[in-house]
Amino acid sequence: MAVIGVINSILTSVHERTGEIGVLKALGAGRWQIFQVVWIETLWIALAGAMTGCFLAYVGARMTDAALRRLLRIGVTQSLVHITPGLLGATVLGAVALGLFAGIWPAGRAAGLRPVEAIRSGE
Amino acid sequence: MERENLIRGRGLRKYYRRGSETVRALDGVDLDVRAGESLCILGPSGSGKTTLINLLSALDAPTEGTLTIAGRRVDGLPEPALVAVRRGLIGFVFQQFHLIPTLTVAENVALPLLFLGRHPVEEEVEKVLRAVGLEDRARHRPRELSGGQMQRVAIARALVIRPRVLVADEPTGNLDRSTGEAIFDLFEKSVRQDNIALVLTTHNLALAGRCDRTLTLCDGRIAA
Repeated sequence: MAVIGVINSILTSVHERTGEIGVLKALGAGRWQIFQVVWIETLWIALAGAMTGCFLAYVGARMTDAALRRLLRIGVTQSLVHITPGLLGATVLGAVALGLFAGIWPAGRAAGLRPVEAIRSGE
Repeated sequence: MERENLIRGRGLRKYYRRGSETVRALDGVDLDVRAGESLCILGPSGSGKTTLINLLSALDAPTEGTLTIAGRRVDGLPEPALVAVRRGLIGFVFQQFHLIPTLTVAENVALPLLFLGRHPVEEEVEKVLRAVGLEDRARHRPRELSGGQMQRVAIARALVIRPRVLVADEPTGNLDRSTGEAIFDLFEKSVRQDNIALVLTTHNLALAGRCDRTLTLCDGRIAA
């Protein structure tokens, strides 16, 4: 589902910037250069999503932990909800891998646009 | 001394399919443009001006005919090969400027150098911005500029690669008369100083009269 979501949002972004991509091609951008631009953008979005998700998960875990302690009134000193650095790292790495994979199709589509049609559709 | 023929087109035809119908956007156009020469393409809407400009700027390939740009045959080339021709030989100026809004003026101008695989040198960008009178606007965004200034940036962007051919589709179409004339002054300067071949389309007959030659299209054919 996450992959489909990322692909969909990047495809929308490519569609909205079709004219701009056409201009870049008219100025001499090659297929691989356009591919890279879109692919790297997907990667950044995935990375930003992962970092935000990790931050929210960490804050949420701390709040859940505090709430459980208050509700249950148990004398446990260790954390009840565990979010380890390893888990956060794996999440970020997973998101990067997902971004790399999800970006292939939209980036390929952008790279394959013909400049004349792309510029015309953007006007 | 005879000037180099930078554009040579023979029997240029461009057909499109629209449903079951074949549209003859260009139907057998011959033309030559030499270095240091300006050619204006005139004609009513739908006459094939933009189609011809797209071919001459290697944005599109002809359906039939032969086209040579700066000694390179471009007819029949696939898009990746056309990109290579555009990248190093052709500067393009659009009617609607088409600057990238998120980049500064200097970054917009430097873009074609990046596509050439060259690291843009600040002095190089400054020099071309000085040539169009916008050296003090290098750090501005396009939205902070007037229409005339945006078109000057677009011209600087086209000239930064030192093109052999400069192609402009209605470059003064969105500008008032005096700004349009100032833009045309810049074109003339480039043609004379850098020995560039200039091809442009316009509806402005006064500007067309300033070109070395004019070519009038009607229904995809040369009418005059």
